[in-house]
Amino acid sequence: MQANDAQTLVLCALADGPLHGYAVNAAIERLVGERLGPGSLYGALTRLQAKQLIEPAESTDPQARQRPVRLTPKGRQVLEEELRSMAKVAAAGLRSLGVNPA
Amino acid sequence: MSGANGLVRLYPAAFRERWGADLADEMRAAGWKAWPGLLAGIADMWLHPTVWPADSRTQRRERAAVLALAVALATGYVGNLATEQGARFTTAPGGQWTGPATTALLLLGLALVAPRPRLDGAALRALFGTAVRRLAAPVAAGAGLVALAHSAAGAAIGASDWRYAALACWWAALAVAAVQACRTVADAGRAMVAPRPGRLRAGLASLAAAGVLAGGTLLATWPDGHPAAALAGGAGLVLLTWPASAALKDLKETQNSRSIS
Repeated sequence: MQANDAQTLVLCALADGPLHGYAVNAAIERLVGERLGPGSLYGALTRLQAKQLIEPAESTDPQARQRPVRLTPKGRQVLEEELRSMAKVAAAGLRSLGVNPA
Repeated sequence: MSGANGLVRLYPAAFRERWGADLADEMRAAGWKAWPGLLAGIADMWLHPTVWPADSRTQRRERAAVLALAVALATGYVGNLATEQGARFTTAPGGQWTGPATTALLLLGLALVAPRPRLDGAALRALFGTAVRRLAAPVAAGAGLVALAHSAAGAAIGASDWRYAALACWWAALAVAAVQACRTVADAGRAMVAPRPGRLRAGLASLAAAGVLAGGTLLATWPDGHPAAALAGGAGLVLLTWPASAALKDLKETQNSRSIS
């Protein structure tokens, strides 16, 4: 489990709604300040789709070359469990450091 | 065609069909600095065919079976090539039993992972036709080399430096035959039935065990006279267990994933 793991970042980016690949990377850049490399991004998208955590979504523009993806219910549940686990670890670590978790 | 588009074409077709347009746009924006990462991504995808975009879990198992077949053939090829170059299993501690044990594990793995032909006349005829078309050239080349080796001209070649060229042709013919056999199975479609998940996992585990046993044995023999063949062969065999282990993990994750990583 890592906060900057490519698959976790992609799921976080899709939590707001369906996006296509380029927009997923733009959302990740807003979240962590840098984009994923194309090899990492599309490797993560492929694996998440294979695990049925994301699925193709209907495109609003039928002429668009790029096809958006969205979280599946299972993907939403897995992301929530993963983020809760990260938050628990982060809070415990910050308490040990004597820092008040925000 | 730009360099980036050329690199995108190196991805597997199933991946390109799903993500090719997105990836090409991303590459145009990222520039050449993204090329090393893209090359790593291409290698990663070829080593994990089970996660490629697929229509069904059966299609994922079919791809894993082709990967397993390729690992089995490559393991046999590398093991035989290393032995031909002077590496000896028998000089390793316990080497008398590791050779037969490796062969048994390899054959068991091959039997478990090999897709079964569907009992359908038209499909079988199509499969047979594809196999003959793809394997005719390497089989003819191999048979020609065997015939040459048993002729008077073969004796003369064996005594000259041309024997190295003949040996290179022999091993090249075997490699081409192995690649074409995998392509034939990969393109068989409905003519073959993929192994069931449990059988596939057992086969992959058996192939990985064969690679570790054979590779470890050869690496243990490297001080005994043929270090280059033993080291290269042993390392190659151990490396071949990587895709088999990765396929096992991918199958588990794609069948019932409850976590991100």
